[in-house]
Amino acid sequence: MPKVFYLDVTRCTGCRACEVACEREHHGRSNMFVQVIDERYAVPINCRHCEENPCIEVCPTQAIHRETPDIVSIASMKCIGCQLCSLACPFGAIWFDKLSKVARKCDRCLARLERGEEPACVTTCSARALAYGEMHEMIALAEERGEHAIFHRSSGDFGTLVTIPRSWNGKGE
Amino acid sequence: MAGLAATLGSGAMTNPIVDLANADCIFAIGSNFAENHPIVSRWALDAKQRGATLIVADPRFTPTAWSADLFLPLLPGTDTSLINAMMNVIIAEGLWNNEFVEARVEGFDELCDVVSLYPPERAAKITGVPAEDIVKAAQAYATADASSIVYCMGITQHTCGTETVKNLANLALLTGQIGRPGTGVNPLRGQDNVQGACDMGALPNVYPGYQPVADEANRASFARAWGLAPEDLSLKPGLTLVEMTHAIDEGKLRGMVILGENPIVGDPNAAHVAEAFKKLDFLAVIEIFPSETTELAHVILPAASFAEKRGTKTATDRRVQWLERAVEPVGEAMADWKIICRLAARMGFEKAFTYPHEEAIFYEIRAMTPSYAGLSPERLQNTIGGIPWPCLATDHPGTPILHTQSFNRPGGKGKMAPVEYIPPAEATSDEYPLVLTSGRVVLHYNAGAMTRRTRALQEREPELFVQVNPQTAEVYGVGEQAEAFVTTRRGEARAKVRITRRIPPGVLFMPFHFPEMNFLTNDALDPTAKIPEYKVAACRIRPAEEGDGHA
Repeated sequence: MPKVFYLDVTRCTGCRACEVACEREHHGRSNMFVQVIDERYAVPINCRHCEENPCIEVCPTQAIHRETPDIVSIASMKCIGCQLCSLACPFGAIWFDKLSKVARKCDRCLARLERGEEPACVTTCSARALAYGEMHEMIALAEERGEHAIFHRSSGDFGTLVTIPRSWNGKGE
Repeated sequence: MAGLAATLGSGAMTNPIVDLANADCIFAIGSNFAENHPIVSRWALDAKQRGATLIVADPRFTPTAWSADLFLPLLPGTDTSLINAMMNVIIAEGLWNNEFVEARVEGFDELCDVVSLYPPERAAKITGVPAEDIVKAAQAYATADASSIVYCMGITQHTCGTETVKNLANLALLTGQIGRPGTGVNPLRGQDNVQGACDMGALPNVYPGYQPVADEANRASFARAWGLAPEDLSLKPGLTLVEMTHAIDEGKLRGMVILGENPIVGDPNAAHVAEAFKKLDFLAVIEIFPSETTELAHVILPAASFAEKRGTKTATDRRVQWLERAVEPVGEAMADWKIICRLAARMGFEKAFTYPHEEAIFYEIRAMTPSYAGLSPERLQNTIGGIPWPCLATDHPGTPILHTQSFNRPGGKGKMAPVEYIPPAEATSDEYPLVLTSGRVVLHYNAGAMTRRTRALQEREPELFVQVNPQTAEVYGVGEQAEAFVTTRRGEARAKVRITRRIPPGVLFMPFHFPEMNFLTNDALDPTAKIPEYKVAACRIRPAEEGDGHA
């Protein structure tokens, strides 16, 4: 079954343990980062594994591709380092590895998924701001977390669900 | 811990961490748990998402305050006034739990006399918190079905720390918010096994299980257990950490063995600590890495790290857990207890330190510590998540929630101990016009001997910084990311400036994980618990000039 990533911004404390866990899983380099907003909220940013993928569309060598129906990944051997994908990504989730001259991003910890484990960032999140599972499970989790949250979902059964603070809807604080 | 012992009869979290999820109101004061106890966030946020009200009182708008429904930005060291004013409101509006007070508490009239002096308007002047917010906090805490108090070193690391803890207990007793799920008075301890270390008597005045050393019967029973004559054991309490430094100055203390501590970074007035340690005739340090303290040692003994050791740890909520080692000790490294046994043997106590393994030590612990009597290595090894003490017999399930029926005091009643506001030991002056408060950041642990060696953490938080309000920054001419000197009566430290609206004007914050920070802090002590006033020092700040010398 395809899986989705769930991010609850109302729970993130900005501790950056997800970054460190990602780094440990990916040879010392993190594919996610935590953006602090107005010293009031924190948002972990990693590849959303979108349903429609500007990164795949702009990639001239088809290095970026769907690994599985719910995971978008980069074949480093095909990447020529043109960085068009970084420009195209609406989330700023693709970074350029200057050492190897290739694009890098979250692969949802493919190696861990194959062992039946969750992505490292999800396992390590002490505030339980991150979760991973099937769409219906994540919707149930988001709903359980209360009416104060608004959550965005895509039409399909993959991608990323996000719960954002109520004050972000419309004019903001 | 002394504050809770005086009022409730035991000094530990009354409720488990996970029980925070059952609270309808959480009052966090002097605790930045989102950074310093990240796992606590999980249960506090669960409560909030269930609809609980989260009140956070802190001088800084910390990540803990991010999720607060009500944020009370109090000035450092004014906690007691805030709590008194909350009780003033609760009594004035008739919100206290009279049934509970009559049945289970002593000292209500005396408390009323003191808190009547603290109407919210007066407290607003002392604390800087608007009076209407004090009223709201008092109403929310008193009227929720289950309210929990969470506090930490923002409360205790003051010369008035013990008194403020008593006042938090007063608040819980007044409202009956104790002894039930989702309630309680919950101090979060600073390290993973500091509760266990205290339980084991790693304090100057008690044997394991908080049995006073000054009591002759205790002395006799421990002498018997250890195969010694009673006269071999002292009836006189020893010295606390900061008192030891003072004793070196006075020539009364000549040799030390230090383990699991890096006092040159972690102690207040750290430059003075380093000077004092240099006067010792002999200093042995048991450590896993070279530290600022091992540089002064005559002998360094290599200790095993946490992953190389086995035995029990007692978490902040009294949960005793058995942990197995993950890897064998590397090189000559050895578990601390083995090093201690060998040292003892060389000092002529080979017969008293003959433990073959960790289990044997635990059998002695349970024989001598009533609250651990029902625990055993086998039982703990088979209980995932551990067992909370008191656990009085092998078929006793442990005690997740304390004080459900009575308090651990003569007569079983809780004691209200009214507390007057005591200003911090060090006042600001023309020369030192700003208030410096210290604390921790999420990426580092204590004195940093481990985390400053961890690339992933050090890269993210590489150096000492000082948080400055934009208004203060303008007055003193320090710019974002510029270097500045912060100076107190004890010393000077160079730090990178971070300008933020999340700290009030006139207050600076620095994390103590970096070597120079505690050159600045005050070693004035709480008269009861002897904890130093890390949280308030008078200071000044100036920009570092080009080619400015290092302090």
